[in-house]
Amino acid sequence: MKIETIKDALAAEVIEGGDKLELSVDHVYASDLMSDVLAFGKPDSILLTGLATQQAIISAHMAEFKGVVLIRGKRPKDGAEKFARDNHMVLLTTELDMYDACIKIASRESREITVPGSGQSVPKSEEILFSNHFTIEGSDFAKAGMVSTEIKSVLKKIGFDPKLVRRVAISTYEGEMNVVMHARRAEVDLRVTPKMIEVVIDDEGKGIPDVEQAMQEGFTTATEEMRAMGFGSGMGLPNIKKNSDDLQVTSEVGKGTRLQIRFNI
Amino acid sequence: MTQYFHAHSVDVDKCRGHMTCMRHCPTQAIRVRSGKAEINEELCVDCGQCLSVCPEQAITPIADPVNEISGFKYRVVVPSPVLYSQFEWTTHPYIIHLALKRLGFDRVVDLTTSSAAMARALVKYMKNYRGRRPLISSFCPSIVRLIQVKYPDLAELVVPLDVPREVTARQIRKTLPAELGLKPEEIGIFYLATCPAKIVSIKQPAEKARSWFDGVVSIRDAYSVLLPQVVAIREEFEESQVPEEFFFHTGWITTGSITRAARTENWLAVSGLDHVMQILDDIENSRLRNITFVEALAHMLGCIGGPYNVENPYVARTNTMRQHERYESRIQLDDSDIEKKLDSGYYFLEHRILPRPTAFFDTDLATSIKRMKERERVYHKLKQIDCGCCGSPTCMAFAEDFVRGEVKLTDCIHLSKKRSDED
Repeated sequence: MKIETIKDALAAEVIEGGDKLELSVDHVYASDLMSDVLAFGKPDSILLTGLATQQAIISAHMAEFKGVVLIRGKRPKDGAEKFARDNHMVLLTTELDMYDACIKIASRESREITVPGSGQSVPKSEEILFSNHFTIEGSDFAKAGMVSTEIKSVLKKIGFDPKLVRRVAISTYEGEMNVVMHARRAEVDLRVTPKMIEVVIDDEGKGIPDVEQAMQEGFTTATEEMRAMGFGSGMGLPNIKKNSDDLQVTSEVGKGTRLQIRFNI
Repeated sequence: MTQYFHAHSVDVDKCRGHMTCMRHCPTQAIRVRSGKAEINEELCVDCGQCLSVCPEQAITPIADPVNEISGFKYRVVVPSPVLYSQFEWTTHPYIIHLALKRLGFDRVVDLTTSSAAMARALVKYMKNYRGRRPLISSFCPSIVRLIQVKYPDLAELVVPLDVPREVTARQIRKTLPAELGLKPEEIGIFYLATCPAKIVSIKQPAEKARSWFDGVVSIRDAYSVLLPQVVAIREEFEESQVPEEFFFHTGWITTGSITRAARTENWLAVSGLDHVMQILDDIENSRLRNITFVEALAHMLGCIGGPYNVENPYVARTNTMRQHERYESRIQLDDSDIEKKLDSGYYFLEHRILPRPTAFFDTDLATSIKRMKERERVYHKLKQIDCGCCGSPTCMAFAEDFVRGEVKLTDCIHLSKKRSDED
């Protein structure tokens, strides 16, 4: 979403960075707690906050945000304005309160919002243009890669852009290899809606104790044998994240792991 | 659909609808309709598998007849180095040159020096290449077409270097007229080919307007007239007759030749379309991360396994190994010359290889998705045993053919049986 769109939605006043309204942001992070912003904020977001101090702008800058929107008509305090100017950040202020501001921005949002961990963010059935179901067996290295190859072949035949098909193939393949290496079996669902391709890999297995750690490049629990076969270099989940537009990982130790991988069309 | 030239066609008088070709076709391009095989021009990659397996020899190659050469004043032949392996290894390679001359060729040009130089050029090119990997060899025209049709995303990985035969023919075309004092059109340059794909790549190249060759003869056709000459010459031949400047090298004819010539680590050589497709799938899934280059050839064991050869590929391989030990000369290469040529673009293809994606169901995404859904629905009705009696190679292919309106559900013998049982 363009910052311009957010400014219009909030009828906001531009304090700094009027020349940067054409920039796009991926997320809006609404919070007054700056430690949360630093810990969970994603780069290229915009911060919505009631904290008008220089500290708020510095936090947003550290988290690689593109700008800050102050709510309830607040004006920047102390050096906040200068810091925003010096660091090329957008600074806006709106008369709306936090809740109303969120609603206004959400109304301009075309993306579907998923609830992480709820496992219930399945696209509405009337939106599904095409779906397919597959099963992966754990430890079956001979068949490893067949599901991703099948999914790839279906998407190619439908006629999706080869670059998009490649990203789906790579992500699905990584997910499939994880199942073969670490789980007993998995159910795989492919769904195509007008806006996206979704692949859900739901496995029965030992689960991931620390998802955040597993998302790091190079982290692996693969055995020597698996690595000797060219798998388990600790690039699986990071590679899926890199190739997809959205990845949700939910896992329960002793039960299994569910990957929901989405690609915008 | 006559957009794509193919070097073979079905002789409908001979075809008895065995379906052998249909079952063997690696791209599922063949259907049997009304008892006769039909080849889908868009999907065919000219591997020639159908030709080799047809029990009736009903799939016939389209190549130039050997007597085609008489239209030229001066005739040059560039044989695929596979030709030597088609004769017993005790046959000196020079005898084969003499025999070709008796057939009416004025000059026989060896390809292998150019191959060796191009292997060197390839290594130099790879050294400076910084893009996506692995790169894929452009050497086998069948593989190039397979990638264009079925792996469009991999087209950018095909090395933009031309093949030795074309570079050689171009060189002849440029220098020979002046050397002989003839007009360029008075000189005919011919290739002796091992497979339909090479014929197609000369008749309708994937990456340029036209080939540097004037014609192409299959080894199979040439062999029948060549063999009597070879036998006759062998009778009175003595090795002392071989002129000093005669040069022989076994060249790139078996899988791994290019890879070995380049002597670099992390290269992979694969042959046989089934195995090649597994590797291409792996590349698409970004599995082969440590591999920098893939030499992929359509036929088992490489060009030596091409369907237009005469000798069994394993026997031919033994011949070639023996010839290598006994007759091979060392190739002298001038590195600075190769580098200069590489910089000047001498070895490069005229155009990059571009994808040739087929609109499988429809060009419109929504319609295409609808048809894909219909395919699933029909597929689940079928017995899924791929009996092939309907004339489509698999139940999935039948479902796809149905969606495209090419077959009726009653064409499936199991569905019509079920229906008549219910009646």
